[in-house]
Amino acid sequence: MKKKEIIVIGILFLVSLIGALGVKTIQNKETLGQKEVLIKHEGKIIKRIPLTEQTNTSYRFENGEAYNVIEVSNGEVHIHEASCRDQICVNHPPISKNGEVIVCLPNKLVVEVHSETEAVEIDSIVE
Amino acid sequence: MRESTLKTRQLVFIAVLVAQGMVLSYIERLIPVPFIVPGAKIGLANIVTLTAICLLTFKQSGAVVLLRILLTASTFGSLSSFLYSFSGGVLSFFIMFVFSRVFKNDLSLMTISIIGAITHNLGQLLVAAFMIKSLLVLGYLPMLLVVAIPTGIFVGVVAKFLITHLERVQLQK
Repeated sequence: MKKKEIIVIGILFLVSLIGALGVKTIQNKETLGQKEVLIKHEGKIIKRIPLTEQTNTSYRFENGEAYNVIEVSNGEVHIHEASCRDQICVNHPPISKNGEVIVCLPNKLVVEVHSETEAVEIDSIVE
Repeated sequence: MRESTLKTRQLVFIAVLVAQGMVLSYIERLIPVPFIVPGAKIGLANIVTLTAICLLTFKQSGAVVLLRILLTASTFGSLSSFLYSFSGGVLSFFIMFVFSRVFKNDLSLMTISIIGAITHNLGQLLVAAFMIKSLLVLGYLPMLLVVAIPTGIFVGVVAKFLITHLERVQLQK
């Protein structure tokens, strides 16, 4: 490995590290508005659940054989159960901040926390 | 060496690489996600792709990649897992192949491996964003790249060992 390569890779590593921290900072920004849990399938919102400390509910998404059980409790959202084999969404830590998402790729399901009065609009949908 | 002997050798070599790639993909599934990033993987199968790129022609190494993805998806995976590994695998193969031939003497295997890891993630995330129709997943990209660099180095080092030993096998005229 040559010196130039090490430098380029080092810079790349730093840039992605800064990018990752940037994404985290945007998500951690305190929001004033009412937070909401959006459950989307193939980009379409199929369920909205208000997210407060008191919300305590679960929602079962079904699409043929595929299913995900989404639980909202203590101001946090997590996926309790899923039909997919990799279980990445189930192992994902609970989310509670604006812009945070849990994605279940096999079931094409996105669970995201959304706040209406957010200045930085990073939520967008590909049409 | 006779033409037919060479052909048989190449065929066997491709078959062995595909089999190794399948086994590595399977082993990778057994390893519980060792990183904080959801969906991040070590990319063990990339060891085989790199070896194929270094020792075989474009057609032959392309066959190794395509066969490995097709067979892995049809034995252990589903349609969606096929789409993701296909998009990542094919994109990273093309880019790694081009880089390894254009900068033959300037780039080490480690760098090519890192480039492969980065493009693999990129291809997969783009398809994922399209499939679930949400750009929000791209927020995972920087975090995935942070992981891709060390895993890319690891894969590159392993492939280097493998290739040094396999170079003694005569595969091309």
